[in-house]
Amino acid sequence: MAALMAHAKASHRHVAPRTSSRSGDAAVLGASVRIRGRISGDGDLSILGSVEGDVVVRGDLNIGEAAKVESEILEAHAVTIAGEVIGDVNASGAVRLGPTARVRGDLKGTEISIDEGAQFSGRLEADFELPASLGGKR
Amino acid sequence: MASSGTIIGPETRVRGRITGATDIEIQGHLEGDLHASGEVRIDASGTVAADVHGRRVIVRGAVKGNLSADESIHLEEGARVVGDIHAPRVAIAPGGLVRGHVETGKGDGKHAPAASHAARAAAAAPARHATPSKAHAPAKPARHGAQKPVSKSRITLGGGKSKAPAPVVPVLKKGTKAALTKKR
Amino acid sequence: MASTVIGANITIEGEVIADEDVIVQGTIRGKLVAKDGVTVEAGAVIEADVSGGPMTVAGQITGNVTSTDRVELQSGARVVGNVKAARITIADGAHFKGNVDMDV
Repeated sequence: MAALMAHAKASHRHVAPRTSSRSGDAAVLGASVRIRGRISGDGDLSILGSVEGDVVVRGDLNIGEAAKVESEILEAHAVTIAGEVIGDVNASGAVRLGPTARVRGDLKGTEISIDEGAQFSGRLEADFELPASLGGKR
Repeated sequence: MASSGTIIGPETRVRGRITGATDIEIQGHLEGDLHASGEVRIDASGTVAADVHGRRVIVRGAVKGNLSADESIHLEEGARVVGDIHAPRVAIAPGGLVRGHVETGKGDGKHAPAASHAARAAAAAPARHATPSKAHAPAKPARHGAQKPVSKSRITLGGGKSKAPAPVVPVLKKGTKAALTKKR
Repeated sequence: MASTVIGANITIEGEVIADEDVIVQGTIRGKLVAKDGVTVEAGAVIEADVSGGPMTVAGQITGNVTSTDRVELQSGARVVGNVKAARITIADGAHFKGNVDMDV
């Protein structure tokens, strides 16, 4: 299942996910993969295993149901979470928490959605104005 | 007419507190607290400057205040909420906007991720969740045990994850054994 | 019809200002100002001054009632307070204590 073997040891080394041969730009960290260290890359990334460390990718980030990610910050374009995440999410696109997601951390993105059933604790900071009758912006 | 429902119509403003045992629909403006044991709907035209509590709370309009519910809170598209949201189940549809803290669970933050990551949790969100003492030991093994043994990965073996020394607990045996086997 | 309904089992402590019809089945303490009709159904309890258009009262009001139109106290109504309206009818079986002011 491990499509990508990242050679991160128990250190904070910089790991660039290799492009998986299968799906174009998408890298997949399989269910049996555990990584401790920083992950960064340009393409999409799917995490199905366990990661301890920051994740910064330009493409979309997908965190599978059985995955577990602990980091200070997760940065990506669109972020879809079905698994467990501890850490802040900073997306340049949408953030979506599926019904099985368990997330603790603040979410930033152009659009945040949370499916019923998801466990979540954190802040959302959407940018919008309240109607004047509620005293405007804040 | 529905004798059990309450509607604050679009041309109505209420300043004060609303309490009650029935469903309430807000199409107008409310300033003050709202506490209902039924379902609370804040429609698209509704504007509420108040803390709102219901069995279920469904929001399509604008709210400045905290939302809580016995069962669930749904923010639909168009909802705009400035305030904290807390209910056993929370759903936010795409297009539902929030500025504030959102928390699912019964109130003491005893849901899964919280308990199992005391160390980090404590750093990330101080004071909001399970006391560290409690969270540290017992929660961890259970989760580790439940996790798939680290099969082929020769990567992380050295118990990369173990911030907590592996406690000797039956549940853990499986994982531990797998790890040991692999080490050789 | 009425767009605001204060259902039975609901209590509002404060001010209700409506530019539309209001039906009250529950309890209001404070103030009720409506532009149009106000219906206070049997079982409703209003401890507040009430003003509005045409009013039909079958419930309880403690407070002054002001209408730009008519006030109808139906059988079973219980009103303690002054009523100011263009017209007023008090049905047999309605309880009323207060002054009536009908000068237009």
